[in-house]
Amino acid sequence: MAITLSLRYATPDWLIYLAIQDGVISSPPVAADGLVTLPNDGGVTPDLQTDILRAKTDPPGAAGGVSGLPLQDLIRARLDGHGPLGPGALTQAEARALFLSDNTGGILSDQVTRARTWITPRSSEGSVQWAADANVDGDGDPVIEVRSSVGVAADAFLYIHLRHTFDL
Amino acid sequence: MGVQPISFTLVDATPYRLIYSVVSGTGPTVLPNAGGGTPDLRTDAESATPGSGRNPMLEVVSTAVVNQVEARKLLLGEQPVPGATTPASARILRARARITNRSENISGSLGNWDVDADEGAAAGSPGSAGFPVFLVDVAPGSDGIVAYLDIFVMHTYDR
Repeated sequence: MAITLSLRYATPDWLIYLAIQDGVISSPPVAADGLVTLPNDGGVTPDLQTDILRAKTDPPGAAGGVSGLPLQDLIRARLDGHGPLGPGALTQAEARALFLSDNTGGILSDQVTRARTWITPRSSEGSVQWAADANVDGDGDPVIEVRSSVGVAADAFLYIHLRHTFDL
Repeated sequence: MGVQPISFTLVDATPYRLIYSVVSGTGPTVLPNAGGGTPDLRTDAESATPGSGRNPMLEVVSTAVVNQVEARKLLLGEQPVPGATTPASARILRARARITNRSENISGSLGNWDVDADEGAAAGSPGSAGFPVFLVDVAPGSDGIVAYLDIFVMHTYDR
């Protein structure tokens, strides 16, 4: 896989990952040369369900359970429901509304908390473009897809930020 | 085959934030501020609080500007130059913007985007004369790429 993600910072309202594109193109090229999915399965990091629990600070690093971490509510939308959604499998449009604040179709009312996700290059001097999207996995859990142009080594920061918070 | 400009579609609006879905085309393209139909900065900002005056984003985009320097200070958060004449003193609300690719086009390309600001008429939008507008451009040969233009008022909690 040409893009790897590693958790760099976790708070109840932020997840920040370093994305590294190794610049290697497979022979023949495959989609994974420029695409990686940040999963939401509760598996080993990087994983949305696992990594948000790192934000719990009392005591530091302990499992946070299923309450008290606002961004966790969005991550667990299929399992617990969120606002008008679920519990139950989400669609990509719903994942985009939750994680990209793309409320096309008015899926979420004004009172439903949501996040913004974006990616900013750290190196490569502009020759590599990055993209961040939201989608769903086979279970209907929201996941984040990171894409980049291929063939040049580069890195970037992926930010997932719960809006309307003091945690700036 | 016609030349398609960059297109904007409002996907979220709050008193502090405007988010547009942007599809690449031939640019640069102006996001106007004329009070016309959406997409329009003034119209879209007002849509977050119809009939109410308590709207910081509307305050920012409704601030008059005379040139690109002033527009960049209001919409891109540039700090005032010491000694320069500007409506954007340290205490005037201003916004910032960022653009992020969402998905590639059918050729597998991602956009290399630019976001700038200018005075409306100078940017080619006569209806926006005297007000700040955004100018969005993308590298040639990258039609059909989707990105998000995220505009937010600085120094607010709605982030």
